[in-house]
Amino acid sequence: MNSYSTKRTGDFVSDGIMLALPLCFPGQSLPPPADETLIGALAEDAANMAIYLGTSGRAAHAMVAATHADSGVIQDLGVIPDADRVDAIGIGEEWVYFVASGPLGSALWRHPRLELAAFLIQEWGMARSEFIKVCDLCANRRVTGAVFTPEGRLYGLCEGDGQFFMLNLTAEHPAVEVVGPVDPPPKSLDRPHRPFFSSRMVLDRGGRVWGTSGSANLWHYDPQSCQLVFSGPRVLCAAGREAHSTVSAWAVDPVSGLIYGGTSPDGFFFKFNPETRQMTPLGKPTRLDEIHCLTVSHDGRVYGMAGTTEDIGHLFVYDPATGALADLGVPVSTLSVRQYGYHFRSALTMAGGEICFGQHERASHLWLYFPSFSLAQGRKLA
Amino acid sequence: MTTARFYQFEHQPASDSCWSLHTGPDGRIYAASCCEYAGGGEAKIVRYNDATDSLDTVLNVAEAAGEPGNTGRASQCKIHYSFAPSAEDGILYMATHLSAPGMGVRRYSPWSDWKDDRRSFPHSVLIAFDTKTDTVAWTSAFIPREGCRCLALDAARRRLYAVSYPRDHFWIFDLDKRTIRDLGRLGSVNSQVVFTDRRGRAFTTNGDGQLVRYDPETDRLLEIPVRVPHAPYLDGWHSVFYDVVASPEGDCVYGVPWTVDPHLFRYWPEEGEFGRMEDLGPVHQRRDLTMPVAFYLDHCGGLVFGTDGKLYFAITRWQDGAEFRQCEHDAKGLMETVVVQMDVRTGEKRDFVRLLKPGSFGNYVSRGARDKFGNLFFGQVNRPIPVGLSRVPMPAAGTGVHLPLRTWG
Repeated sequence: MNSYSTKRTGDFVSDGIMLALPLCFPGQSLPPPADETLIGALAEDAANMAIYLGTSGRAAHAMVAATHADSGVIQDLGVIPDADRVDAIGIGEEWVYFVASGPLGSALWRHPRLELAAFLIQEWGMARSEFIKVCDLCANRRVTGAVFTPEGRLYGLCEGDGQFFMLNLTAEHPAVEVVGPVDPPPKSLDRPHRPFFSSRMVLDRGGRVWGTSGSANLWHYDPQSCQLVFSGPRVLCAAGREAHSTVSAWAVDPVSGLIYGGTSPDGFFFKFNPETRQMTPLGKPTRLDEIHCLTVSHDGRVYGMAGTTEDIGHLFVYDPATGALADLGVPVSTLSVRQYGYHFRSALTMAGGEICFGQHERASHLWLYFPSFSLAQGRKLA
Repeated sequence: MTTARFYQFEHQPASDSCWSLHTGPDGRIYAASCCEYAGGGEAKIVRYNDATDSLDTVLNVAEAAGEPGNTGRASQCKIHYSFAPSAEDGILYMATHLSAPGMGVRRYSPWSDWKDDRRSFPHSVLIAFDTKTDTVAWTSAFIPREGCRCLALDAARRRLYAVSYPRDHFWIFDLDKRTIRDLGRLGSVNSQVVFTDRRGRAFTTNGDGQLVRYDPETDRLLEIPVRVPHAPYLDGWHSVFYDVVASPEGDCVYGVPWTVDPHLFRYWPEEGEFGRMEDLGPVHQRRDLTMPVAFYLDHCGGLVFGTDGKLYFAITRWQDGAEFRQCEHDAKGLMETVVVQMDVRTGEKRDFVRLLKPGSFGNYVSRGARDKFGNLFFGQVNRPIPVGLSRVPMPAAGTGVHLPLRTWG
């Protein structure tokens, strides 16, 4: 616990630049209603330099952001039927997949993958396609969390009983296969069991899916044995809070294979080696409770957002090269729109190195973050 | 021109701002004597006394809130645009606001000190002050961890509407259950007003000057396609409501935004699906537009209707070059505050009265109000400390002419 240091850099993020992008074609279209803009899912289509995002609120919108070259727009692809929340997004060969939930249940939907947007300073034509339902997922229930694999699999969790399921997107008729509950009742339990588990899961480099349930214990799904394994270590939490603690944010370092995690309610930060099962606490980056999103940048630094929905959230960074953990302050944007950002639930590092955060508030924006860089080792300014 | 008299908040030497001034349910004038710069500053409520032609202190807000200024935490230092009188029961509601550091604390930031249990602002407090007995009827915790920027009463539904600072959320308080509900975020720049129309809908703005309407029938807060008028060289950002007053007939409102080069507007909220907005033009002089100026220089506020049916509001007038001074104090001698009288039927305007302070200039009128005799009052912000209010005697119009009450701050 002593391999990090914390520092404060003022009220607002001054390390790097943050830009908030309105959820529209600025000057040409309007964002969705403000209470339908809480961004909960992001996925990058690197080949087309696009980011797909999914919202929640009174209705769930699927959107695509094009931020490069002469694009600079976020296009609303429309409202996903019967849904008030997009849980996850997957990029396929021809289709983009959306896991979406509503009061009546959950389903997998697909939408044509769009080509690179361009010429958007001069002229444009944008069509809106229908969402095609692939299949229902959890009968009469929401999906609480889901992850897609590069090979075309979807893993998900059903609300309530925590049934872990999988689905093969490459099958002619994709169908849900239930694997089992991630928080099964203890055999000796003589009272009704109320499953407790986190909606957040992560896919490691070996194809395993990790999550937390019960008393802050890790579980994982092993694709080789097609089994849920419950022998993982316990996640770091404050003494006596095991029963309440889960991992609320995950990110994988694609180079080292290490997994980073953030917890709720304590807001602790840790790294986990899925091969050795070693769990290393890295500290608490801010005074705030809960960490809701993490992403690993191309140079290995880990960026995350801390704070509950009732907070003024903070951006933080962990540098594995030095072990430093720094609170970077409150997100703010001034060069695009002039906005503060108080709560975020999704993050990804884009192919070009920009970091993307999904704001999760009424009247949300999509945020881009350009971290600052130090001089490379051996280089000196004249 | 008519003359005005300035009444300094002498009871509270540290009073540095008067952010709120309002007609109470009893037709008397109440004002907030605020201390936002002093560590541990406490707000007090003063009332104009017609018998003595002076101000009486009727309430220590911090004491009533149960948050004395010596806790070390950001103090209950202001009532911002958060007076809301109830004519039915004589209650004057008020909600507290933040900005002063705790006693002994040199700097306070509502952002960086958020959730710091030693320094942060604990919560806004709602105070129900009974003007019939001059006592506090009850208090309640109001907005958690935030200040209340502005307040409006819906007496029929027994609700208060509020906008919080710094997170800029819209809140609804149930006066019977004494519970508060968060409807979510508006933007980043607070609107300084929530007003209600005759249908009980509440209106405010987001940071881009777009109107946001809460409809109690649908229980939905919705941005509507109406914008606060602004100068053509501005893009609308920061054109939030600054001050809004209802017409005597109650069918429309007049207002100004909290931005430079403010335009007076008239809005008919009940016309059509989204109401009808009219730009009544700029209230201030031309200036060098390459220079961003402080709102303390380029400021309009204190909108109030007289018993003559004319609209009165305070503008700033300055000599060329004042806009290049860093703040209004550097521009002393170059600027003045004038109350303008406007015939809203014809649009004709004339200077009505100049507001002064002893040894200084009148500046930054926050709010205006009319008492039960028809006299006008204007709350003033800024030095010299202590600040105060101005009273403008008007031709006798009888008594009880303060109605209808403005029910928002």
